[in-house]
Amino acid sequence: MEIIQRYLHAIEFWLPKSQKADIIAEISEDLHSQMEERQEQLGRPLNDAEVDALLKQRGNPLLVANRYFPQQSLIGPTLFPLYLFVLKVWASFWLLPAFGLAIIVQRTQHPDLTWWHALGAAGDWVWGAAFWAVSMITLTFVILERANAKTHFLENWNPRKLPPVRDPNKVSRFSSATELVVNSACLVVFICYASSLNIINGPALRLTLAPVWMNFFWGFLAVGLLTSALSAVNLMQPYWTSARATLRFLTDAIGGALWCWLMKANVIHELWIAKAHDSRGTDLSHMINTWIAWTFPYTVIVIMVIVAVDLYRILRVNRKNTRGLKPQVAAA
Amino acid sequence: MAGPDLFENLRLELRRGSLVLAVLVALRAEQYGYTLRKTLADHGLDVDENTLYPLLRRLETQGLLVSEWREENKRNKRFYLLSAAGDLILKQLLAEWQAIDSSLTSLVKEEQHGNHPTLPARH
Repeated sequence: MEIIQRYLHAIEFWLPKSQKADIIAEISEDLHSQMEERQEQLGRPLNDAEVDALLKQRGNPLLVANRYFPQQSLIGPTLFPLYLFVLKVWASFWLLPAFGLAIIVQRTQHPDLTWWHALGAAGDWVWGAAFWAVSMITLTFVILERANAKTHFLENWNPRKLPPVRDPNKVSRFSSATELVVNSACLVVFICYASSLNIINGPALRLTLAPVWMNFFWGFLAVGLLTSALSAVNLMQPYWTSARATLRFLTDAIGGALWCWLMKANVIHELWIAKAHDSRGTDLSHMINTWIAWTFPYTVIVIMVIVAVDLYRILRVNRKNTRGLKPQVAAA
Repeated sequence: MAGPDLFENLRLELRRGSLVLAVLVALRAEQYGYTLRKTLADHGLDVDENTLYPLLRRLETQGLLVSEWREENKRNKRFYLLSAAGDLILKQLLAEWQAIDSSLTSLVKEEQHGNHPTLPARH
């Protein structure tokens, strides 16, 4: 029957070369045996519809041929979860921030663009790099898969080399001490040099800030003192509590809001350079104010990331408190 | 929630390992593909052709079966038979299967007599 020949030919196309004839002969024999049995049951030759049904039941030629190949995959089930994890980490820490940044850059550089157009332009900008990165990650895992199939390197591991269990709510004493020292040093410098509007007052250069600066001075001073106090408490009791996590969130949020305001406040009032014309100083101060204002979107991104981390910390601490879980490493 | 799809998947998974054993047992006597499929079906093991023929080919490549093309009823058919290596492996697999069967039977009996440890209540 012609339809059987066509079916066998369609399967043959996909089969491995060396076994084509053998496999086709066997499938052909099986189909004919099946048809013979059916004809005996019916007492007549099969009609076209019945032959079609038999072939349909056997399956799509491509799928039938595929069953004769060994299972193949670029990245197997052992490494696939790790591959997905790496892609997720990459998407969270590179792709999304880069995309957000690209949108803001587009909007800043081309203020006439709508958000939708900025979104499209950012997509174009990020697409190439994203494609390249995903290809590289995939290629790396394909190589790892091949290497693991040959050397079984994943089976050579040492339990003693496993990383220690880290309690995310524990505050490192080193980081608290560093934070305290750096904060205190910055506060001393800040109080010494930024408590008046005349930041620089020399014979060759004078820099005067706008009166609004005093709001920033007291605001940043308060935030700095609170942060130092928090670092000191964390140094003594190195474990995040709900109250301390909330205080860190508030100081970061207030500090961030102050920074954002500062970016837009045209804080440089006057810049005087001895060897330059007065108008040059005015131009320069205007240029610095404009440049500071231009960095506003980037500041917002950084602050949003910091605030998001702080909020996550509050959630984590509260979740742990609700569950009443204690570190169980010692018990184990 | 466990549904019919999940049951079907688990059933297929359970049968997949047993199928190799069933084929090896059935091929202690020489048979060609079509009659082998019928033999298995008669014993309650319906096997799809697209599963059986590639499996026979794989078992032959592994040296557990031997085959030859021969004419029967005016048609060329490929006859399969358990090889010496296949016979040895079959004995080992049968012992393993019997051990699994015995362990499962013992577990099920224990369950039926309520002799099983219970998990502490969660608060």
